[in-house]
Formats: sequence, C-alpha cells, structure tokens
Amino acid sequence: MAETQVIFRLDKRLLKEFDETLKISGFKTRNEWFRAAIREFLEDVERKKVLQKLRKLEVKGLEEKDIEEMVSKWRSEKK
Amino acid sequence: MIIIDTNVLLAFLLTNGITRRIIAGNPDVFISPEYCFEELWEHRDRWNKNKLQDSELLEVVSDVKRLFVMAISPEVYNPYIPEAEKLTDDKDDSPIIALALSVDNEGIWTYNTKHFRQEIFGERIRVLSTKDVIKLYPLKE
Repeated sequence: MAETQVIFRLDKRLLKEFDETLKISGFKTRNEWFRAAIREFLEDVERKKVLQKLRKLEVKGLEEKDIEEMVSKWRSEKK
Repeated sequence: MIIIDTNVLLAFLLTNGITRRIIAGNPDVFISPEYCFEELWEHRDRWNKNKLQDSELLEVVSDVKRLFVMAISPEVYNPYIPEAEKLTDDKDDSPIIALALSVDNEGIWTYNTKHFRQEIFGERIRVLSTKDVIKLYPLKE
C-alpha cells in the first residue's frame, strides 16, 4: 500500500482528551480513527451525490397508496 | 435491521418524502431481497416516468444497493421459500417473508398490509408501517 504521511497541528489539551476518548470508542490508534473517519466522510459525500441523482427519477404527487397500487397492478397482471 | 418491500424501495426512488428521509438517515439499517430489485428492474418502464437511459438507471439502482439498502442474495433466503409460501397467498411476497425468516430483523416495512398480515405471521415476523419505523428510528433534523 502506498502511504502518505499527514501532519496536523492540534491544541495539546484537545489531543490529550482525544487520546483518552479514542480507546473508549474502540480505536487502537489515531491512525485507525483517521482512516475510519475519512472512509465515513467519503461515504457520506457519496450518499449525498446519489440523493441528488435520485431527483431525476422523482414523480411529483405520488403517495404511498399510489405506489402500493402500482406494484400490486404489475403483480396481478403477471398472474 | 429492517426488511423493505418493493413498494417502499420504489417510494425511496420516486418520492422525496418521509420514506427517503428515514432510509437516507439510517443507511446501515435497511435490507431487501435481491428479488425486489429484480422486480423493480423488470418493471422499470412503468415507473421510470422521466425516461432515464437504462445505463443511468442501472447506475442509480447499484448506488442505492451499495449505499442505502443492502440487497441480500437468494442463497440466504431461498431455503425458507417453501415455509414463506405457506404464510402468503401471493408468491411475489414470499422472498420478503423468507428473508424475514432467515435473518435477525426488526420486521418487514411495507405499504401492503393486505398481503402482509400480522395475524398470520404471529410473533415470528413483525409487519411495520411507516409510523412504526419512525418510532424505531426517529427522523433526524
């Protein structure tokens, strides 16, 4: 794996508090937390992008009962 | 985990309402049998009112599977299909019921309470309305 080193500046007290909380949260190292936080952040951004894409599919005025009827209709026609 | 029916999946795709808010706010909670996604794809001409190209539509559906609603492979629920068929009159519902019998879950979320009847399922499977799901997973601001 090609790795890049990232250096942060952080208030000492905040870092101490962070280190104390890290293990309680289930992370062994700062690195492990950082990698997990990046993955979560990127997934969150991806989700937001997909929600934007879904706008292209939207049909105004549809309600639960209309959708239920649509699915029931195609199922009954199949039989 | 909550199992979602085809009609709820379709509401997630087509409407920007409560259903989408619940699922988008809890992306690790919802699963659906692969069958429901196949059924949606088979009938895409009926609901793809805005005429998206198949390639774009396929990409959106794949993204939904990857990031919002996990599609569960038939290998997981197929062994439970015969048992599930005894609990419904509609064969199209059996993959959803079979999935509920095969994995730990909080219930089936559906808009179709005619076919998914709590009195038939007893305590084995819980049928959830949208209100029930909101009680379990309150809407986030």
